[in-house]
Formats: sequence, structure tokens, C-alpha cells
Amino acid sequence: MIGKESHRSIAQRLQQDAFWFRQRGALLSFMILGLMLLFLSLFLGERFVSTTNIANLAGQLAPLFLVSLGQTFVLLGAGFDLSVGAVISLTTAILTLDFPDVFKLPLAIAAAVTVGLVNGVGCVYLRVHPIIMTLATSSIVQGVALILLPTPGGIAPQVLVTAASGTLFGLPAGFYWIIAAAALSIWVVHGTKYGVRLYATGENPQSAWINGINAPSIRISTYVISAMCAAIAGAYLTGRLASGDPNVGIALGLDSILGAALGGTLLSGGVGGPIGTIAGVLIIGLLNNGLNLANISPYYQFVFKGAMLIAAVSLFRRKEAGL
Amino acid sequence: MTRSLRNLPPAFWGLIAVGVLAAFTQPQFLSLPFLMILLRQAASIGIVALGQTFVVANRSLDLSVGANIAFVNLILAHAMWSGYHPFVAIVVALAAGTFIGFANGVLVTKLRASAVVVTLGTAAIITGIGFLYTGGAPGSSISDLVKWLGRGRVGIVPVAGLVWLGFAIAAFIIMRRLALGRFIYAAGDNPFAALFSGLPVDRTLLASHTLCGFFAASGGVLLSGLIGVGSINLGADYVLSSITAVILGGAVFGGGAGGAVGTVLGTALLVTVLNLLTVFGVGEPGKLIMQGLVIAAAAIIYQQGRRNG
Amino acid sequence: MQLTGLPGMCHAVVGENGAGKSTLMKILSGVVRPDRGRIVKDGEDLKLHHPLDARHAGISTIFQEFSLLPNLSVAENLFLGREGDIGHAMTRAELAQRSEQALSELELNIAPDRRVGSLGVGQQQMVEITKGVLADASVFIFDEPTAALASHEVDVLFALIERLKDEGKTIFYVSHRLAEIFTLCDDITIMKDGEFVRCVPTALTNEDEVIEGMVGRPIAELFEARAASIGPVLLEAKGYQGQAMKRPVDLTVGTGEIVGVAGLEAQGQQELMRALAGFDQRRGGSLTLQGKDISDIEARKRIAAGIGLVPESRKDDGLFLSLDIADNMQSAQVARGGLFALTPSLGELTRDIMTRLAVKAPDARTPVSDLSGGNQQKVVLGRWLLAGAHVLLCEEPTRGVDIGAKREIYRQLRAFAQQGNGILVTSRELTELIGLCDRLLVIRDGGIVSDVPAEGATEDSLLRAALPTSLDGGQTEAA
Repeated sequence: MIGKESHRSIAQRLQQDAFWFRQRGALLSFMILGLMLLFLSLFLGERFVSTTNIANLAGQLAPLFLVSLGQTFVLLGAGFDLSVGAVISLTTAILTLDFPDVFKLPLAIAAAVTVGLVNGVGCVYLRVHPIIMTLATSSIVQGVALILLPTPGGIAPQVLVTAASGTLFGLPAGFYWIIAAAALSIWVVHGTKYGVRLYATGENPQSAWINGINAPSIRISTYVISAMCAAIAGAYLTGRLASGDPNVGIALGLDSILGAALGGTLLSGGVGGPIGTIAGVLIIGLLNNGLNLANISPYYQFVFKGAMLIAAVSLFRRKEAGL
Repeated sequence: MTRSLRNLPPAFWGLIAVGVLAAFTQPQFLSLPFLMILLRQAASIGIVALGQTFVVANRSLDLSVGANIAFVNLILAHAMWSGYHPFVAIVVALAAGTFIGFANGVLVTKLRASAVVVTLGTAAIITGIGFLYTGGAPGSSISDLVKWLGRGRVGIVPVAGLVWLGFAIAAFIIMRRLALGRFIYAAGDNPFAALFSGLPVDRTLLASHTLCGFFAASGGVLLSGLIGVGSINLGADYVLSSITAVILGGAVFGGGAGGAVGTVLGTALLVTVLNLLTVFGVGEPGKLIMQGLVIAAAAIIYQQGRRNG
Repeated sequence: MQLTGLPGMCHAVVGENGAGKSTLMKILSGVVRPDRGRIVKDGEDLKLHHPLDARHAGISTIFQEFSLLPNLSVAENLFLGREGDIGHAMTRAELAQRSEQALSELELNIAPDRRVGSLGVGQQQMVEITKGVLADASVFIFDEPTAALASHEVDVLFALIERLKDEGKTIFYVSHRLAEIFTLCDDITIMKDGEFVRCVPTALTNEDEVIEGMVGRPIAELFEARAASIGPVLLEAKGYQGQAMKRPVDLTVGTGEIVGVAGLEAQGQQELMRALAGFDQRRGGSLTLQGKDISDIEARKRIAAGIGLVPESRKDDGLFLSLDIADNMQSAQVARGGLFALTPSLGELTRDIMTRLAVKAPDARTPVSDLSGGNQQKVVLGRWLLAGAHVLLCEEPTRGVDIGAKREIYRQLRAFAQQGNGILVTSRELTELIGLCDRLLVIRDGGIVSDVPAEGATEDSLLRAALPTSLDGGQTEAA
């Protein structure tokens, strides 16, 4: 269909084609990921390329995949969600309550949706800055989680334990959670009209509105999606740990932004997507895993992660400096 | 008159309300000795929050203040300073903290990347370096000078409170009497208009971040003195607290509002509320919830006022 | 305000900038809500609260400020928000195919997956037009569709509008260019200062009558007398070129002189102004201010040397909306000091300038967001008076201000020039440039193609020089 313009160079297409322009960050992350894979398999050999290690990795990374993919939606809509970590904590707290299992799952989902709606309405209709709004809800939700479950413990529903730590066709459950979440979010963003509307809203809510898109609902929906992804991640973690931990989410909250940003999703909205996030999360996972296997002090993780984060966001200069 | 009333930060009304509530329910809360304990406790948060005010008014954010404080603490507690004058450790710690702020500023202005991500990144790096520096086992050789700064008293007044006052005056002068303050508010409100008026937009942002680093490190010195030992996770909750105090003080990402006085009031309100909750027997979770509600309420009220005003 | 469109007819809406044409069109397209009054279509009252309402009512608008999203593809933009009209989700291939078909009807050869932001302004305008006519509508609104188009694109557009007329559609056509209106439209509604003046069939009127209706008074009354004599050169560019400029430029601005830069939309006016002010790196040539070479100094130092920039978008680039008048006016003067300098006390000077410019506000502590557009513009001008600028680079000085404020701004600009300063001004309104300036430059495709005295220049002669190829074919230079 492109016909007469097909002679354009790759660099030109990255600039000129809408799809590639929005995914140019992802392209880079996959290149970094490829180099990392090559490097790790060369230097660590069997220790890295073993089924146990890969299964381990999938199990460990599944929660980060889930929250990062959720965060990607919020970032695409030019928002920001710092509350995902607290939602994970709240979910594990709810799921390990002394309560019949049938009620706990719907309750956890309902709680997450509520948090997402509050975030969305606060940011969109009350016009509070997303960082402030989600910082506030994060604090509230973490408080509630601590009230429900003051210390780690409780018993996870058996269904979740099976779903999170079982195996199917020789592959660990985490692997399937990852595939399902990735496939679903790629389909939603790249295969539905919601996806196009999300990109439009993230780029310029006013123009989107003029085009007949209900930009406020789209923006609110991203917070709900992100909270629900966090709840699912919480459910997975609960199953994997087979008990609850009210502080389990804290680190994941920030890592979710890291994963999306490393994958080339811009914090200013409208550029990037779940494909890049997959690469971003894998980069984080391989970094931790590689350092572990190579017996390098885990403290270096922090340094590398921070440096990579800064490198990732510095690739695309914005017009203004600041937030 | 109406305008000056409108310009009072949310914290002002909050403090009055909390004061009245305390007077009726917990009168001993308002006694001078107790207030002095509050003052000592508030000083370190107060100084960090003053630093955060510069960047928030400049439409930026520093999420690395917690890591900064922890790093300062690890330096002060390290045994390597035992042979030196206690000043040396303090100067080195302050220089390190200031450098962190400066590095944030350079990254934010040169890379044009989001300050949120950049300062998250530097926070991770500093945390890692701190772990590597101490091997995960922080020392406990905090000098008496630092302890005196954090815990000591001059008469009835805590030294930390006096230090806080000094920093508040310095912050007030910077924000309201120096060109830098004008630049911060202007560039925070509209960086493009600032550029086209000939303001040194990038140097202003660099200066705000550097100041924030210096203030955070100074808060870290007081906190280290108060705690008295090295601790890996010191200051983690200062990120949230400092932002809360700034918002209560009326500054919200640009917008020309807020300042030294507002942030001092904001800090006072935050610390008072948290302590009052303790007196009422509310635990850590309840305080978190309260803090979240207060941030949301202050931000929403401020935003509605702006839209109508 | 009243406006009636008939099927199969093209109805022109004309008026000066700020007469309210675009606002009226935005009301019809549901973007702005009317304060009062009714909109009736086919005998039914319409309530247009949302752009979707207008779309459902069969009204399609081609916006002046494009409604396109630069990071989406052409195809995505064309079908944005109306995927539902088609009844089923489209596959990528179907989307591409339908887009190509729609584009080819307007003789556009653009790949549907191209990013709109990577297209030229003219192509973007054509995509905007394609998007507008793709809609299944009975009323089409064209808001200044030709401002960014080359002449062959204008021909394509006119053929399209004729076709729509033949199909019995109603068309509202907003334009500055009267020649177009007289070839295309059946009726003309004239607006002035937000109000209806009259509606006449095109056949029963002529250009002079229409202009008189738009202006409502002899144009000369709006403007001050031109400079009696021009002093020595203040600002001189010799082959000067910024990174974003397509061509090097030679120009001078003399003492007491107001020089206008005329041209079609996006011909490099803004790039020129920003480069002269130092916000774009120099690629070549030289620039002198009062005989001093300022070619290689950065924007801040050029400002300190006496250059002032009044940016086109007052709200985005000019004002600190949440700060007060004093902070806004003093910013450029305060900026001359270092970061740690004490703020100078400028209260008296600020009040002085507020009085001189007749800024309508209780005091200097009034937030600028409380001021009208005209008064806000005076605050930006006041900033440069306060900073003692000698050369003002003024982009669109009267955009979005009412007629009274326009007159006031013309007066202030002239007064500023008379005090031994110079002004370089860009504007979309040719009448404004002719009335305000002493000398006019015409810019086309980044280069200055004509340099004529404003006295005696006509819109027609300027437009001839500004168009890549004039409407009647030949390439004409203005006399």
C-alpha cells in the first residue's frame, strides 16, 4: 500500500511513520535487551540458559510485568500513578483476610477499581496534579492495607496458590500470566479503537475532545486499568507467597515506572506502548538475575537501575525541563 | 485585604483548627515543654521541606531527598572520621548532599528528562552507593557536635529549632528578596515566557535543585543527630512528608504560590497533626491515611480556589 | 448574531480578526457553548454541547487551528473518533485503503501510515480538509482553509467545494481573502466586533462595500501617522540565518521605524523573529544592533543589549498567568541581574508604565489572568518598556484583542518608535501591517521577496508577492 514511498530509509521511516515514531523507544530497548541476552548467555552460559533459571525469572517477573503494563496505560494518557504499590499491598491484605474466598476476590477487584476511579476523578475533574493525587491515595491505601493486615501472614486462597505457583505443560504459571497480560494489553493498545483514542488523548486532550473523543473518560479509565493490573499483580503475589504481606507492593510501585520508562514510554503521554514495556521489564529482570548469577554484590543493582533509568529517559529530549 | 486572606496557605487555617481542637481535648499538648519537643522533631522535616519548596515552586520535584538524608547519615556515622574534627564530617556530608542536588539539577536541565524519573534514578544510585560504602552495615560514630545539633538545647529552645529558623530566614530571603526567587516563581509558572523574557531558566532550575540538595542534607544532619546512629533506611518517609508540608504550605508545581513561610506553617501543621494522632492513640496506618487525606484535601481546595479566582 | 445557510449554497462569513467569526464557527461545531440563542437545522432546535453533538447533527468542521494530532498517522487522524460511523472495527488494511481513497479524491499522494507531524503545513491542511469531508454531513464549515495552501491546492479545494454544492450540501466559508469569496460564495455575512452587520448576496455587492462593512470606519482612523523621517539604522541583518530558517535574510530597522513582515501562513515569520532574538543558533551572516555586532551572543545578552520579543502566543509564551502585573512587567528587567542579586525596587516605574499604557487594573498586584486580552498584551509591551528595549520584535501584536485595544496598541507601538526605537512586526492581517508600518517586507518560503514602503501598498499587491504562484498563474513580484 505504501507503494511509491517504500524507498524511504529506516531512519526516515522512524521519523515519518506514526507507528514507528511512537515505538522508536521500544526498538532501542529491544536492542539493549538483545545485547544483554547475548552477553549473559556468553558469560554465564548454562547457569543463565537453564530451564530452572528461566522458570524462576518468569515467576519473579510476573508481578512487575502486570503493574508496568498497567502503568503504561496511565503514562500513555499523560498521567502518572504512584499508588500501584499500595494497591498491591491492599490486595494481598484483602485476599488473606479471614473471609470466604468467594467474596475476597470480587472485594479486592472492587477496592482496586475504587482507587483507580478516585485517582482518575481527582486528576481529571478536580485537576489535582497526578503526582500529588496518587501520592495521597497511595498513602491512604497503604494505611488501609496496614489496618487490615498489620504484619505479614494470613492464608492465601488455594485457587491463587495453584494459579500462581503451579506449572502447566512444564512451564511455570508466572509465564502464562505474563503472556496473557502482554497479549491483552498489546491488543487493547494496538488493535482497538480505544488504543487510538488513548494515544490521541495522551498527546493532546483538547484536540482529542474536538475530534469527538471523550478524553476525560479515557484518562480516568487508564487509572482504573492500572489499579486493576496492580490488583492482579497483588493476587499473583499472594498466591506465590501463599500468604499476605502489607509491604510487598512498595518497591513495585516505583519499578513499574522504571519498566515503562525503560521501554520507551514517555511520561509526557502519547508515545510508547506495552511492547516496549515488555522489553523494559525484561531488562530490569535480566539485570537483577545476571548480577545474582555472577555473584556481584546486589547493591550494584540499585546503581545500575538508577543509571539505566536516567539513560532511558534522556534519549528523548523534551522542550521544557522540570516535572 | 481579601486577596491577602486568599493568599494565606491552607496550613494557616489548619493550624488554627488543630490548635483549637487540641486546646479542648488535650490541653497538655499545648504546654511549652511539649511544644519544644515538637519543634525539635519538626526541624529536620522542616528544613527538607524548605528545600523541596524551591523545586516545587520551580515546577519540578525531588524524590531523592530521602536517599540524600540516608546518605548523609551513613557518612556521618562512618568510623573513618574518628580522627578528624567533627566539622570535617559535617562539611563532607553537606557537600555530598549538595552535590546530589546539583547532579539532579544538571540531569534535569541538560537531559530535559522528567524530574520525577531523574530523581528516582539518582535516589536508586545513591542508595546503592550508600550500601556499597558501608557494606550494608552502617557505623555508629556520630560525633557529639552532630548530636548536639539534633538534640541539644539552648535554654529551653532546641538547637535544631534555631537551625530551622535560620534556614527558614535564608529561604525567605532567597524566595522574596533575591532575583533567584523571582526567577523560580516565573520559570515555575511558565518556562517559555521566562525564556522569552530573558530569564536564565536552566540555571534557575539548577540552583533550585542544588539548594534542595543542600537543605535535604542539612535536614539529614539534624536527623542523624537526633537518631544518634547510622541507619540504612533513615529518611525514607521524608519524601512524602516534605511534599506534604510543601503542599500544605500552598505551593503546587509552579503557580506562583507558596514560599518559606507557607512551608514552615505546613511543616508545623503536619507534625502537630501526626503527634496529636499519637496522643489520641492512632497508630501508623491511621497516620498514613490521615496524611493522604490531608494532601488530597489541600491540593483539591487549592485547585478549586485557582479555578474560581 | 444571525446566520442562515441554504442547501447547495456557499455562504461566506467575513470580518476582521477578532470579529468573532471563528468563535461563531466553534459554536456551530459544538466546541464552544453559546451564551444564548438558538441553532436550528431542518426545522429542529439543536443543542450542541459537545463536538459529537454537532457531528450527529450532520455538521462537519474544517478547523483553522488544525484538530489533527501530530503523532498519529494520517489514517488514524482521518477516522479518529468516528470509527463507530462505519459500523464495525476496521482492520489496518481497510483503514489504509479507505484513507488512500479519500486522500486521492483530493489529489493527495500521502502514505496513510505517515505521521501527520512529519507533513508540511499545506499537506496537513489538506489532510484536515479530507477529514472534514469524509464525514457524512449536510453542513460543512471551512474556517480559513486556504491560509496555508499553495495555489494548486486551492484549486483542488475549490473544485471540492463546487462538488459539495452540487450535492446539495450547505457550506459556510470563513476567509480573509475576498477574491476567493467572490469566486466561490453565493452569500456574504459580514461581522464586526462580535456582531452581525449584514448579509448580502455576492452578486449584489463588491469588495469595497464588503471591506467598508467589516471595518465600519475608514481604516486610516485606526492608525497613527507614519514616521515623518527615519533615523539611523538600529538593527541590521546581513545574510543572517538561524538553524531553523530556510534562507539567509537581509533587513534593516531604522530609528523611529516600524517595519512589517507580511506573508502567508507559516512562511518562516516566526523562525525569523526567534532567530533575530537569539533563540535559534546562528548558521551564518551577521546581525548588528546600534552598530554593535551581536551575531554571536546568546538570547539573554541580546535582550540585555536592547532587543525585546513579544511572542505570538500571549498565554503560552508571553505571560506568567498566575503571577501579578508587577511580576510580569518586571521580569525582563530583573532578568538582567544575576541569580543572587537583590531584586531592584521597580514599583514606581511599574506604576508609571501602567499609567502610560493605560492598563485597566486596580493596581500592580492584580493577577494578569484577571485582565482582558488587550490589557494582557499591554503588560507584555510594558515589560519591554520597563527593560528599556530599543528594538521590539513583535509577533502578531493584536491577536485576539478587541478593536479598542487594537487602536491603543497601535498608538503605543508608534509612540515607542517615536522615542528613538525601532519595531519589526509580523501579522496575518495585511490591512494592519499597511496601516501600522512605515515599510513592509514580504516573506515567502523563508526568504524576503519584496521590500516596499507601506504608504501606497495594497493588500492585493502584497498578496501577489506572498503567493508562490499567483491565482491567475504567472509569478508576479509586487511593484
